[in-house]
Amino acid sequence: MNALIEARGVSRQFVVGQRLFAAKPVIRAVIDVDLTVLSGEVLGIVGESGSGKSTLGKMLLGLIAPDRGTIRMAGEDLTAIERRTLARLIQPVFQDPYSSLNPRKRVAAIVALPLAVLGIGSAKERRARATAMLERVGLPARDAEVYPSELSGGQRQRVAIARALIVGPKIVLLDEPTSALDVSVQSQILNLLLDLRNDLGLTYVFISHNLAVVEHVATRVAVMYLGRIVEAADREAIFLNPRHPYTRALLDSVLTPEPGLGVPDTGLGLAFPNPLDPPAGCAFHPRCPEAGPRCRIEVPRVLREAGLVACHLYDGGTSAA
Amino acid sequence: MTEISALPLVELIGPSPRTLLHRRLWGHKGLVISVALLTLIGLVALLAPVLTPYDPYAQDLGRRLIPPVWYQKGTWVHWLGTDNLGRDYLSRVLYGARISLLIGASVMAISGLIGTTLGLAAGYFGGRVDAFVMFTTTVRLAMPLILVALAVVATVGGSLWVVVLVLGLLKWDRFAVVMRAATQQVRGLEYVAAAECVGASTHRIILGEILPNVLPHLIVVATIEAASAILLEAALSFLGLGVQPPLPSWGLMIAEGKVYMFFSFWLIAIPGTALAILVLAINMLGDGIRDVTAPGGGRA
Repeated sequence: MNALIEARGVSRQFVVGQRLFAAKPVIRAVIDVDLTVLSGEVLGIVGESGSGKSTLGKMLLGLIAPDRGTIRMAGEDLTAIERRTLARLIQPVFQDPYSSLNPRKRVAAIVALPLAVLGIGSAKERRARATAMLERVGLPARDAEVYPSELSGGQRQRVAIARALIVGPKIVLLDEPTSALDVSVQSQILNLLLDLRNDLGLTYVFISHNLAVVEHVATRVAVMYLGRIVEAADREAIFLNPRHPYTRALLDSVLTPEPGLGVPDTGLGLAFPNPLDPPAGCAFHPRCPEAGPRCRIEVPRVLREAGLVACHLYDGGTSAA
Repeated sequence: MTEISALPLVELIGPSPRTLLHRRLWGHKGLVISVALLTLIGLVALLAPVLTPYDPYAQDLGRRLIPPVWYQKGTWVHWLGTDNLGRDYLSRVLYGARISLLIGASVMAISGLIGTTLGLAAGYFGGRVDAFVMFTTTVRLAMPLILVALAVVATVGGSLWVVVLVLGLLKWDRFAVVMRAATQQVRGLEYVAAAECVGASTHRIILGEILPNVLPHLIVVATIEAASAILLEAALSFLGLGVQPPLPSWGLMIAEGKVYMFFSFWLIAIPGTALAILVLAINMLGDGIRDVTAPGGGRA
């Protein structure tokens, strides 16, 4: 298996607000992230809101550039890849199917847009391919003529998938593709995505905050917290033997279908730290049940053995060095 | 026993989207009235030579200041009477509609083109482009229109086209500000990101993805600006800085009539009324379009 995406030391920060004389406040959205996506796998990226997973996704799409670090796609530096070549390498499916389709265009035109941009085929051929792709994602040909406002959320998400796949990309970046949908529709879309992956040999980067969904589709999982990847491992390892205390807390937070059990206690407390002023040392230490004095001072190293974990527990203990 | 009747099919399934749209358009009284008025004014302007037998420039000093028909001294030969040079007033009012509509449309086109381009660029690119556009807009807002017009007319002399150019080159600020805000809003949406991800050119994204979605805002601003341009032309012509005699501009007609205001009130009342009706109709059209295109909008 060869690596389709190799990110090394990728960081990105955003300046928020304006200060005339003081230093401008900065959010470090993604900090020193190493990420490898192998051909044919489904990499799940999980984390809370504000953990930097969507920013990481936008950098992989080439929509925003990293401040530091390099991203290599299929062995070439992302900055050196021509925009239209990149389009045939990676395509996105976004979270909100209501804002991801141009409301003033018919579905056929939306799905055929990538072909038109890349100059593939005549207008008639593009139309035929768009209709075929719509049928492939489970929409009848008559839906090609309607406007997005006439479709349901699930149908719109199918249109978004058809648009992403029509140029035949190798990688599809799915940024929370099901979180805006009804539960019953979620599973239809997930199964469609898995079918398409098997049939077309796609590689997925699946960004989500929903662990149940990730467990269903991912082959490997990376957990992000405040801009850093704190743990990455194969699906079985993550779900059966989580190592980082944050991963454990996340798994504890998954709701069971048993209503009598109530909301689980994760031991995390309520306070998500302010991303403008993240805690010193390990960013997770204020919420970590196992934190020791070392965690308040020292940023944990990233340990690589059978996956990746960044925690002092596995690097000589949490007592002060 | 109570009678059970079948629910009519129309009540059961509700009206079709097309019917709803028609209901929305026809149900908005302001919109219907303004479209009717503007169509009427447009036809009158277009057919002016057919509608009146008189040349609006032909003077007849023997028939000066004849009042309109509803006065005792009025005659059916000149329905709206004649002005101080004996020109048929109805002909002048009808031909004046041409000038007002021409000014409104061409100023709207020039300023709309400038302002929309600047606003789209500022909203899409942000950063330095945005700072430049906003600075230029501020500079423009600091220039009093009438004073600039005065200076230009003093330098090159007044004419219809000078008015169009001065107003067109100065009145783009509202287009720029509104288009910028609307573009910023649409630019953040995911369909724009999706178009960027397939490598669509900036020009394709702006024209294909953004412009169609900010069009309702553009139309509303365009109507406001057209109405305001017509009023400004009248004001400039009244001051002698705009359209020059003998062209029958409504503003100029009011200026020419003001000397005779106390004895021949109709000389200013008739073009004034025409001006008010036209501007009102255009503003009502803008409001109507805004209401009808608003999400969930119906009648207001």
